[in-house]
Amino acid sequence: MSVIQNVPGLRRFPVGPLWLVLPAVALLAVFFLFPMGRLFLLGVQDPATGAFTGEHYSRVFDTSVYWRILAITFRIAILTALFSVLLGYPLALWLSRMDSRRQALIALLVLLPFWTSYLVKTFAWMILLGNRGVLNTLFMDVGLIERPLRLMYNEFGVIIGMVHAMMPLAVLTMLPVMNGIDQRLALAAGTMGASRSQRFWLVYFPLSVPGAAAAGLLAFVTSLGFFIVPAFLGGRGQTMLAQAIITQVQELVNWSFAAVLASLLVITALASIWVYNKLFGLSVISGAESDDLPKRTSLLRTGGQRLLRFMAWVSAPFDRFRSPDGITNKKVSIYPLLALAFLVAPILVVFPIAFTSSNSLQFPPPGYSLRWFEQYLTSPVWISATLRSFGVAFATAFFATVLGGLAALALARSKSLWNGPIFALILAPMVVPRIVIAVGLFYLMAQMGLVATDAGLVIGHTLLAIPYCFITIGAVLKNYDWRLNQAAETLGAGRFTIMRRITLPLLRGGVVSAGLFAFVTSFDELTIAIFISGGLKTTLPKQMWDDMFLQLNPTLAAVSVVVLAIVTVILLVAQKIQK
Amino acid sequence: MTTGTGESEIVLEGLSKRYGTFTALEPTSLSVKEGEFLTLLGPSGSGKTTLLQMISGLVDPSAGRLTVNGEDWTHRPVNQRGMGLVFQHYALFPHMTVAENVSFPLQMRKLPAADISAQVEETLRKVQLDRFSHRFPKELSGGQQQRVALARCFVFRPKIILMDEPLGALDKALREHMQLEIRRLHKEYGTTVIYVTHDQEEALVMSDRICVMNHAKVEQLGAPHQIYSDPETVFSATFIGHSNVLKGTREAADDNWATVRTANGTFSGRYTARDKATQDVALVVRPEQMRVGPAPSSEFEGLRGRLSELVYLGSETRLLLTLADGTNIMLRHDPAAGAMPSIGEEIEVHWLKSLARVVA
Repeated sequence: MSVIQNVPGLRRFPVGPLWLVLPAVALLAVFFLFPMGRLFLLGVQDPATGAFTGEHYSRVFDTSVYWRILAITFRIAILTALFSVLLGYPLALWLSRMDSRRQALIALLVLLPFWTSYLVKTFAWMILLGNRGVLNTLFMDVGLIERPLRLMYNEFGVIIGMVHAMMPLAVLTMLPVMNGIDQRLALAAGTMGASRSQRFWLVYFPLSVPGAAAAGLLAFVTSLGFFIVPAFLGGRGQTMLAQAIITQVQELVNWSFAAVLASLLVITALASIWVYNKLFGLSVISGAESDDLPKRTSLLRTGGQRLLRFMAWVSAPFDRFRSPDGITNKKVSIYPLLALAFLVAPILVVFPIAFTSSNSLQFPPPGYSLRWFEQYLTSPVWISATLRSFGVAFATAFFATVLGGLAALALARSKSLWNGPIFALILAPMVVPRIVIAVGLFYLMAQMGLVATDAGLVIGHTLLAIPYCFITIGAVLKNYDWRLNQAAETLGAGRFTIMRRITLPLLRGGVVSAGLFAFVTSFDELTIAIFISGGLKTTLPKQMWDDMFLQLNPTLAAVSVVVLAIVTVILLVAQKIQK
Repeated sequence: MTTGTGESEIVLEGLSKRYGTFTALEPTSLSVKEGEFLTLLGPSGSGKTTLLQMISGLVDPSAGRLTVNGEDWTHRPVNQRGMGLVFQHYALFPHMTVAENVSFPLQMRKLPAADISAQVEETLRKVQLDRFSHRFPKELSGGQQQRVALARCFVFRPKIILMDEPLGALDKALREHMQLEIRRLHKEYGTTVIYVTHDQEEALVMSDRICVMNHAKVEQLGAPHQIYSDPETVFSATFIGHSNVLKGTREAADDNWATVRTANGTFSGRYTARDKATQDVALVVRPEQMRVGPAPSSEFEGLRGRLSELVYLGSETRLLLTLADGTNIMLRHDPAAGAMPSIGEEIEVHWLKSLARVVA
C-alpha cells in the first residue's frame, strides 16, 4: 500500500476542521493580540529611542496619585463583586427553583437590565440620586429628611450604580450552575437525618460555590475596567484606573503612562482568573465539560467544611421559619421581588422624564409632551449617530456571527492540541478590560488610518462580539447530532448541501440569537467608540456620553427610551427564537 | 434460505483501520455477492462497525482495497457511492417531516417533483406509514421512526444497503417484527444488504451468510447452519448458541478428524481448524446433542458428572452437570428418556462422535 493511503483521512479532509477558526484567529491576532503586545511594550520602552526602560513603571509607582487610584479601583471592584454575588445569590436560587418555562419568563427581568446600556442605567441613577433627584424629592415630601442627602458624587453613588450594573451578570452566571444541581440531593440528605440548615450549608451550598465564585470573578474583572459609573456617579475621590487611562490618552497624550496603567489592569485581571482557575477550574465560566476533580488543597477543603458546619449550626435556630424543602421559603418570597425591583425599576424612571413637558429632569414631571422625542428626531446630530450605530451594529452582527460561528463549528469538530489555546484566545476579549482593548486599538488604528472610519468601529465591535457568538453557537452545537451529516452524505448530499439543508436549519436558533446579541453588543458599545468613532460623526452611545458631560437634558431620556425599546425588542425576538 | 445469485459485487482485500497504535480492524478480506444478506456479528469493539463504515466511506481505510463491481472504491467520497445506510438511532432529520426525510435522497438525485412525490408515497405505503407523512420524527414511536429510516433508504433503490444495528433501540417483540419486515424489503428489492448486529439470534434469522467477528478480526464466515453446526473457533462456538467446551491438547489429527486429551477423558471429533500448528484445542458439543445414559455403541462417547442444577424454561428443562475437574456442562432433559434426575445425583451422558467438533 502506498504511504498516502496509510495516513487516515488525508485525501478526504485535505484541510482539517480547525482551519475554520482561521478568520477569527487572524482578526484577533491582528487587532487584539498585536496591539496588546504593542501597548505592553510602550510601557517598558523609552518613547524616543525605543530602548527598554523601567522608568515609566517607577514613575507611576512613585506618584501617590496612582497608588491611590489603584487602591480605589480595587476597593470599588471588590465591593461591587461582593455585593453583586451576595444580593444576587438568593435571586438566582429563587429562579433556579422554578420550572423552566416560568424561569425563562422571569429571567427576562434580569436579562433586560443585563443588556441595557450602562449609559442608560447610569443616566437613570443620576435622575434618581441627584440633589433634586427622585429619591431626595420623595424623602423630603414625606418629611423623612429636611435637606437633600448627598447620594451621588461619592462612593455610595458609585457602588450602587456598579452593583446595579453587575448584579445581572452575577445572577446569570450563577443560574446555570444552580440549575445543574440535582434537587433530590437535599431530599436525600434529609432522609439521612440532615436538618434544614444542614441540607443547605453542607449539601446545596458547596455545590453552588463554583457558580458564585465565577460570578464574583466576572463582576470583579469587569468592574476593574469600569469608567462610566464612576465618571458620572463618583466624585474626585472615586476616580478609577480606566478613567486615568482615558485622561492619559485623550488629554495628556502620555502613551507610556497609559500603557503602564493598562498593563497593570490586564495583569490584575489575568491574575484573578489564574487564581480562580487554580481553585475551581474555568469550565464553569466557559461552559465546557470538565471531568477534573476540584483541585482544592486539603487545608482549604477542611477549613471550608469546618466553616460550613459552623454556618449550619448558626442558622439552625431559624429552621422553623423555613419551608420543608429546607431551601426556599414557599410562602411569599419578598426578597427576590425586591431584588428584581432593584434591577428593573431604576431603568423605568427614564420613561416619565422622556415625556416631560419641562426643560429639567424634574420628577414627577409637571406635564407631559412629546417635545423631546421631536427634538431627537429632528436633530441631525442624533439622527446621524443613530443611523451610524445601526449600520455598525448590523455589520458587526454579520461578521461576528460568521467568524464566531465558524470558530465554534471548528472547535466542536476538532480534537487538536491547539483547541485549548484557541478557545482561550477567542474568549479573551470578554475578560480583558474593554478600556485596554480600546486604547490598544486606538494606537494601532491611528497608524493605519482607521480612526473615525466605520471599518475601524466594526472591527473593534466584532472583536468584542465574537466571544458571545462563539458561546451561543457553541452551546447549540453541543446538542447537535453529527450523524445527521453522515446520513445526508450517504443519501447523496455534498458538503455545501449538507450545510444548507441540514446543519444551518438545525442551528438557526443559535445563529440568529448570536447575531442579535452581537447587534446589541455593538449598539450599546461606548468604550471603543470613545476612541475610534472620531469627533464629528459619532455613534449613539458616544453622543449620549458627550451630552451627559455637557448637560443633562430630557432629550437624553427620550434617546434612552428609544435605545431601551430597540434592545427589548431584540431580546424578546432572541428569546422567542431560542425556544 | 436464498444465497447470493450473482457475481461477487463487493470485494475487500486486506482492508484495515488503525487509529494511532490502536487497531480497530486487522487486515480483512471478504467478498459479498449481489443480492446477498451478509451479517457482521460480534460483540462491541469487534470491529464490525468499523468495517461497515469503511464500506460506506464514512471512515477512510488505513490500508487495503475495496472494489465494487470491479471498480476501486477505496477512497470514493461517501455521497458518490449511492449506498443506503441505516443508522443505529436512525439519524432522521428532526426539522423535516416524514415525507421530507424520505424525499431527501431523491432531491439529491435531482428527480422531477412529480416522480419524487409518487415514489415517496409508494415507499411509505410499503412500510405502512402513508398516513404519517406529515408528522415530524419526534411525533412517531420508535418502531415508526425505524420504518421511516428504512423507507428513506429503500426509496432511492440503492443496490447496496448497509445497516448498523438498526433494531438495537427497539424492544424484543418489535425487533422480531422488524426483522421480518427487513427480510421482506430485502427480497422485494433484491438489494445486497450488509447488516451489523451483536444479537446472534437476529443474525441466524436474517442472514444468507454470517461473518463472526472478534478482537478486530474475522473469526468465521459461513451460512448460519454452517456456523452453528461447524464452528471453527471456541469464540464462534460460544457466541452463537450455547456450547459445552472441554479444553485440552490435541493428540492425533488428520485433515478431518482429531483426538483431544482433556481432564475428563480423551475424546474425538470432526476437525477442520485453520491453524493446525497449535496444540491447544477444545472439544465442542451442543447441549441438544447430548443424551442422558451410558454410551450405547462405539459411535458414541460419554462422561460422568454430578447434577448441580435444574433450570426450568417452560418448553424445556436444562440440566447443569459439574464434572470432576469443576467444568460445568449443560444439556436438555429428554422427557422420553425417563424420569427427571434429582440434584446431587451422579449421571452419565453421551453423544454421537460424528456430531462433536474439535476447534482451535
